[in-house]
Amino acid sequence: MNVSLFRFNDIFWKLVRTHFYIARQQLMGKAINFYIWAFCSLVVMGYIMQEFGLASDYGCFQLATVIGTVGLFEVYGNSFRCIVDFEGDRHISYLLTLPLSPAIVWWSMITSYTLIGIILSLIMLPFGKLLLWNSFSFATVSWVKFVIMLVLANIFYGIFTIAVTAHVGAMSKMENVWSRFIFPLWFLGGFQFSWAAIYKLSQPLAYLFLCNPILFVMEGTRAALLGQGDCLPWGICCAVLCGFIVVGWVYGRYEMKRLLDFV
Amino acid sequence: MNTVLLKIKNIKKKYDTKEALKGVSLDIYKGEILGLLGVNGAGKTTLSSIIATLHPPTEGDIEIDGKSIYNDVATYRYKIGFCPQRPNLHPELTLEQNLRLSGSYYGMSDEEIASRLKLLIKQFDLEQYLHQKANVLSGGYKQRFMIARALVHNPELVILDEPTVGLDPHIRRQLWQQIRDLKALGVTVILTTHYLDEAEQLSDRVCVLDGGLIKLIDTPDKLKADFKMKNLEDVFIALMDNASHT
Repeated sequence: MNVSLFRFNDIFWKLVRTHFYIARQQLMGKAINFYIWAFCSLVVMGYIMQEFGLASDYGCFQLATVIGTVGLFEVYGNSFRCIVDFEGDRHISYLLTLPLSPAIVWWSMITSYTLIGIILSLIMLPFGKLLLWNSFSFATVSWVKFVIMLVLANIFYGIFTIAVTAHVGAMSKMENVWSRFIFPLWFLGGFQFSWAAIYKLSQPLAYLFLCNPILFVMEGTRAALLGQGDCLPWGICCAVLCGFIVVGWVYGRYEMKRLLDFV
Repeated sequence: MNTVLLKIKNIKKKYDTKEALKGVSLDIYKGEILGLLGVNGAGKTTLSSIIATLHPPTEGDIEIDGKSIYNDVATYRYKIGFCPQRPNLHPELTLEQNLRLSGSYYGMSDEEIASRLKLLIKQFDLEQYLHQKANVLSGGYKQRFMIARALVHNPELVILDEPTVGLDPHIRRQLWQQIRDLKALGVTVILTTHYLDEAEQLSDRVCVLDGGLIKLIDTPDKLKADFKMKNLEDVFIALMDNASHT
């Protein structure tokens, strides 16, 4: 049989469709979870905390970060399902014996994580508009920049899932995914503050924060949704995320090979 | 039965400090059933998973048609079907979806898959569970599905890693017949087992592994004659006794 790139491409999309078909069954439940989280976050930060002196546009700031965070919060669940598979059903091991490169198996998973992340992030936008109403205007949104950032951020989160899963490797260490990776990266990644605010506080600290890829997702999403303002330049956010995608892929693939010992 | 299908050359496999295979070389002939025997930890599963390209060897090579399989793993994988020790069907999909997807991953058209499935469903008596998910199946049916999935793309070589472990005796007998049917169709079978009656009943040749090395390879009849024993189990016990005394 002809083992061509065309054939690989065909199998790749079949794998993506299968992963997506499975993930789709949980999409509604996930959307409800994120709606609840976004509702709590936007109501508290957009309305209640203003009584304590928060800026009136902080709700919009928070909406942008909520949208940038959705894919990151998917990392835990996706990583959990991968490890359950490694230790139980071993279907991924089966996929690694198919007549294709292992990279195609990993990228099919990354693509399905990316698609689900994009869908879940996108549905937060109209929901945020409903909650914030006059405080948030679509007029400030640069749609092209927003879509590009959304795609790059969710590709990064997909690769991050593979890298973190391979690094953790076992169910007994699963709690490390949240405590050691997702939470610190998210909390220090500009979820509640901008990089400019850190820069004013301490320049060395601000430069140190640039090691955090989530910061670029948050700043880039805010730049696309709310206008450039004092956010990090959108183009630089995209370029740095591309760099993190490459580094994450190289590391993730290496660690996966070490963990699963595939050909 | 003298045409070599696969040439295994000095395969070694090391996991951290443990050497699971210490240099295994053997030829596998077209159309034969080769039984891989050995006590737990002898290296049977390691060897079969290396032949199935689930794991790479640390050293050594496997050749098909005179060429290393590692030069073009994808093409080699079209020729083999692998049924691992533990079922790895997709738990969220029905068994029919599992089988269909498997065929499509091997580049088969919908028509090819449909006609192949019709045959396999009949051969392995799978009709009644086709629209159910894997987790509702008994061990015997799961194993049948696993073998059926390994055969979807019509491979030349099937690697069955302990396919009858934990099954009821009558289900084992049914699977034996299905393995014999494969041989009748010209499929080469590598059968990993630690049931010696199974190896004796099914294998054209048996390969006894011990401590990551091949202890001996021959036909069950020749081994029984050489050791002057009535059955393969006695041969195996004599061999293991010799090994523990040396």
